[in-house]
Amino acid sequence: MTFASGLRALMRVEWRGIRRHPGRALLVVLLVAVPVAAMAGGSAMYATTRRTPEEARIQAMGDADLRIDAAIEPERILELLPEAQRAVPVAIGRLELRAPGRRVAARSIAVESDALLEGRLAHGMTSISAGRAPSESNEIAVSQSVADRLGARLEGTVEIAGATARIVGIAVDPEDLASLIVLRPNSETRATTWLVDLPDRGSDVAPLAADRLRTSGLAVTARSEVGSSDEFERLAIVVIGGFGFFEAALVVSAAFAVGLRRRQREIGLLGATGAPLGALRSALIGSALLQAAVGVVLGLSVGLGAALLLQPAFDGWNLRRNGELEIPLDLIGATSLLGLLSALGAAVVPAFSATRLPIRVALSGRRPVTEGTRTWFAIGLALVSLGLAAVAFGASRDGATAAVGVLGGSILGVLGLGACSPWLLGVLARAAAPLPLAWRLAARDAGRFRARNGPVVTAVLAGVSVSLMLATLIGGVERLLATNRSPLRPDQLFVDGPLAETIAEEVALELGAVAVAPVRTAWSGAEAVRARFDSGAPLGPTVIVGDAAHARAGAFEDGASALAAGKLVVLVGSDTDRGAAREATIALVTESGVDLASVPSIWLEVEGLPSTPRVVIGESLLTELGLRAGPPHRKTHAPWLVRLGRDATANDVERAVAIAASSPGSSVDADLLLRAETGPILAVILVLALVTGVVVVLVATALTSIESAADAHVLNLVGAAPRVLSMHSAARAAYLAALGAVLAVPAGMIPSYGLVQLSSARLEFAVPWREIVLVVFGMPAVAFAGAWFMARVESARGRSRPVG
Amino acid sequence: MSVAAPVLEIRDVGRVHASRNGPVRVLGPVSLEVGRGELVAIMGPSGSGKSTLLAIAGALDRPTEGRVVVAGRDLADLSAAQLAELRRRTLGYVFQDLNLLPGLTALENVALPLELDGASLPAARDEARAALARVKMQHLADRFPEDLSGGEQQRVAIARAFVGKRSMLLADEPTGALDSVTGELVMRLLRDQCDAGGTALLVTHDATHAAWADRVLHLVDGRIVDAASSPRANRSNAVGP
Repeated sequence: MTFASGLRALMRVEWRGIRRHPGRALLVVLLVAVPVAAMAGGSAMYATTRRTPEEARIQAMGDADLRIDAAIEPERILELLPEAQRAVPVAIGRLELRAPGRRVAARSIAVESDALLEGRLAHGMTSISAGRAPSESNEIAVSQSVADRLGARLEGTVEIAGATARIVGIAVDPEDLASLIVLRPNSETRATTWLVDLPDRGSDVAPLAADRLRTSGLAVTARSEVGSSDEFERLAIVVIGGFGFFEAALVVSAAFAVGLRRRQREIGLLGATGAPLGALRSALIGSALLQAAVGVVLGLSVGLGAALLLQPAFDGWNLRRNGELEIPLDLIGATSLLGLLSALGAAVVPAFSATRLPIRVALSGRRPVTEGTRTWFAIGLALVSLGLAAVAFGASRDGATAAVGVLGGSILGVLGLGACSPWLLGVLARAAAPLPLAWRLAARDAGRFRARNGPVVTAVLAGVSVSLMLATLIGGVERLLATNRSPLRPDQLFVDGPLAETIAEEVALELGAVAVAPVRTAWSGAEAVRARFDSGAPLGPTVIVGDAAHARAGAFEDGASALAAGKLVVLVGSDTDRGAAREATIALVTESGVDLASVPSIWLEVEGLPSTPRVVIGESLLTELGLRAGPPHRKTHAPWLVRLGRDATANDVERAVAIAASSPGSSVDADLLLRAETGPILAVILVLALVTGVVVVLVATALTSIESAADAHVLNLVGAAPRVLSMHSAARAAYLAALGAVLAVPAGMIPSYGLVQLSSARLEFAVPWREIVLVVFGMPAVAFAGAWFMARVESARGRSRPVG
Repeated sequence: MSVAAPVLEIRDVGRVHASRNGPVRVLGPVSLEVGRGELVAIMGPSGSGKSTLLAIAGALDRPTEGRVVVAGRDLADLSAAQLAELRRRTLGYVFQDLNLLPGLTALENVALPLELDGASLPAARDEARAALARVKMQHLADRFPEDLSGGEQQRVAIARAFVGKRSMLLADEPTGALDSVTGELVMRLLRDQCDAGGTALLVTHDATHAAWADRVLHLVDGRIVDAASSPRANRSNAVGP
């Protein structure tokens, strides 16, 4: 058949071309391999590090079918559940452990030591990584984080409620390696939780039993009710991964377009020789698929290999036992298919464009001038509008509909902005007259040959937009995590214990503090005083008593005069939601809800405080309302707050701890010790995203350098200095990169807005201004520098390229 | 030279290009017939429409008016696939430069039209070797174009133009990049092919090369202003110019 034999002959031409120009093929291979590697490695990391529903069940209830959170007697369980095979009591609470100068509040788990063994009901809830499980009443096992904070070690001792306990083991919560836990034998503590084993797990027995127990007023959880996958995570992977491949396809398409442009005369010659059009297009696309297949294999090898190499570090990143590397074959298969489809999609348009050119035009090597882009601009605006609507629609749904809406809308948005770019290039070209020569040439050339430069701009905007999308999401996650920070500012120390005042003053003297003050709360008789809005919604924890000294120690000096004037001061952190209600009048109530007074207030923002507001009352108003100041809940002595003139360092904390160690029962806390670690994962992801954007820009720079060779040849012939030639190439690359980076801003905001709306954790959508400035100015600078460097290398080689 | 039937008929063909300043006529109307075994040269100043006429004759461009009939087939009636078939089986091209695909050997370049037309690889290569032998290039069959001189490349291009049953060659300045000796050699090859029954339409600036033709057409401003028999055609002895 003519088609088959023609295709065979043309594929041979393609293969020979690849062998003659391996660099061009390598570029395409790498452009496919990079997203495949990212997705394959990311999929493996995700599959390995995510907590599966079964792991969540094990953490919550070990191997049990039911978990009863009630302090009841075993006889009652047998009465309610005669079918129960086993029932293990667990006492869960909080304990304060003390060591000289230190204290830690940890979650206490009291359970029979052999219940943790494999096959037993509590197996997996915690495990022992060193030593043994405690069996005697004066023995405990603690998590490594508890041991570190107490400065204790295996076989050491700590104090619990005045009694000495010996650390015989290091306990581990596999799902939270940083958690503060202390494991005790369940010898005398009354059970707060029961783990129950039923005879038949595979049926509805457990849920039905749970329902039956709930009618008796018990809090019961069946195993099947625990552990649901975070749908947002899956959606985010689909959207980000799909967008990543779409971006790769655009860059590959731009690379193909430039490559076929260089082969314009060769393609014309094939047409003149009688190559069937269909076979010619098929050969061009087949060549792309061949390169893509190599890229897929390379990407899978690199991605999975990297995940395997990084696997030992996973536990330290997300602070859980992740186990061996898991390779999700379905995701890997989908990734491979996406890689091939991306290349196919990327090659189709350039192949059709290249073969649609009249043979005579192709043979001449001339560059056809593009006309008429207003239509495309209108189409682009329509696509952007449609994309926004699709994202908004997807954000209001869930499941597959949400993913399709957000991803599809994002792609439409990028395509729409890309479709607008030729018109923009034309407009900018007309305004280029006052520019210096190199920039004027860049703008004019880009404006005349928009069909060729448009794909490069689109590729840059797609690549950089992923960086901005991830920056927005990561910013939201970081803000969310920041709300879980410690209650202390970095420049504060919290001194507790019977001699807190003495120790605080000694610490202040030692470290050169600027203020010390007691931490007291307001009391109405035996009840603590709380604050609430006029609507009845609570406002912060118990009301704090403050004066000028407390205002200095608490870093809200501006509020001292308000306190003296009888107003309430409401302290909020800098990351508190600015849209939250800030009422001028606050109601004071007792814990039982009795109204005390409505008091005018001022709201002060204090850098470094958590977002939860705190209400402070002055001494004068306290007395006027007949209230009193006293230690916070369950304390016999008021702790003291020390404010340094700078952020406390680890050395400061150690010195303060050493002072507190001299007084039994005393301790020092600092923000350093209390704040939650987010780990390096988010920063790594953001850096990788920005690096990916830089790589895309450099690829686009290389493509524009190829395209500028013809003009550079003419400039060289008329005697342009090497610096002018370099400037010409660099200006062209920077010009296109700048336009792409600017368009990337809306292109990145569209999908990130959709994803933020979908997040169940209520991520905050905030425009990443820092990253935007970085890419809008940084990416053109990268392109400029890259093209300058390439031009200098070419100049040093002394090679002149043929025209066209 | 006797012409049994016209291999190429061009009737009132014209070509108008659209431009920002309005339509521009680059050719015509012109009429022309070329018979089997004829070598027709087209001469004229730059911009006279020579290459446009050649492109239209060779189905590389479509006229805006008139008809072109090649081997009895009206090109206007042919689809893109049929035009491609015509280029594989009937028409061959030789340009001033960049005639050969750089990734294929001389043999593979010559065999390419046959392979594209469905011939088996061995059969196509056998035909190609025979074609190379006719232009005395069989000893360089396995060379790549970058390893051949300009004249050698043109000879390979001529071999490809006449390989198989291809009978009509269109050459646009085939000797433009060659020295006089090599140019004469190429013209002799063209002449020999036409003498063996082939047909050729040749665009050239060189009057000495045009003298190898049976007829010389002069184009000025897109029109044929002179169509004279060449000095060669007037001699009874057909060997040499």
